[in-house]
Amino acid sequence: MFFIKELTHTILLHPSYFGPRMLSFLESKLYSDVEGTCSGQFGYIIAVVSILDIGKGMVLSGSGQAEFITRYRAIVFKPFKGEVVDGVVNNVNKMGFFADVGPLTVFVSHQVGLRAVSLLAFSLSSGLFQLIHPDLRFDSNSNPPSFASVDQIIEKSTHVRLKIVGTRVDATEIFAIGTIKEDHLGVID
Amino acid sequence: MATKFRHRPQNEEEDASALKLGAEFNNAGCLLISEVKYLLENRDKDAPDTKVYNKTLEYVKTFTKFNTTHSASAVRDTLRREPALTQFETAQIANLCPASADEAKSVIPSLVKIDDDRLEALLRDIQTMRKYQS
Repeated sequence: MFFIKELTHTILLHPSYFGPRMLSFLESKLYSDVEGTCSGQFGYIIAVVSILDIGKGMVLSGSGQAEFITRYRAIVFKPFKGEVVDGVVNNVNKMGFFADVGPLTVFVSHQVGLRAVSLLAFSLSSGLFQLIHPDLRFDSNSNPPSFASVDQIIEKSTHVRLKIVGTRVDATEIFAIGTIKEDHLGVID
Repeated sequence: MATKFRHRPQNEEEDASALKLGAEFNNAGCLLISEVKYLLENRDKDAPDTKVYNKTLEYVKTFTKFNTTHSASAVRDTLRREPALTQFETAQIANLCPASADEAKSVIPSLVKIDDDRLEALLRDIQTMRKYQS
């Protein structure tokens, strides 16, 4: 889900920048510091919409640097367990497929008792490991590789609707596992 | 002891199907994909050349359901008729555009609180708007 959110960012400014162009420097520093970053708490920060307050700027004793606590409003993207999202398939292999949901990559697994899932350290009950309907089979002879059943085909750049069943949050990245094995999920046109 | 409880990781409790988004996001404003597209395309600054930004822009262009600001705000007005809807549910309905009440309740489980007929009427209005947007 995309959110609009008020966030803060602390900028330390070297004294050589104190001067008439300081404000525009602070602004561009904020943009380059936060845009495109990802944190577990707020998800992906996609773009700064507006700067609410650039901060007063306290000179720190000892170093002479000034500390600005800026408040800004940004578009953030954070995935949640249980959320249904649309995505574009970007990679298919025999273990399942990866779909891009904005900045996030979601893995949908096809194998039972999957090694890759345990590698990603997800704690799912064993019944959930197969997240693609068994009718969809991996077709190793197709080019590009695909999962196919009688009436559906999943290959690179197919649009799918999937449900996020688990997320794992790193300091700088989010990993997610999804399923298409439920009603109203799967290939969309 | 009280501090220990307050600082326990909130990740365990998050569950979108029960509308639990964690302390940071429970009251945050949700954006429709169409609104994100508008905001990204109408920035006064240059677009940052980050992977996150470019992938998001491509994504919102692919999955935008309402391509004018007028139709996006009309959808918000329609969904405001139902006061029980939270921000998150509003955005999910507008992003996924389910065709029937049954489908809506399956992809957004927290909608069970809303009567089938009312929900069906809302969804029909949204489908019509989607079809006839200029």
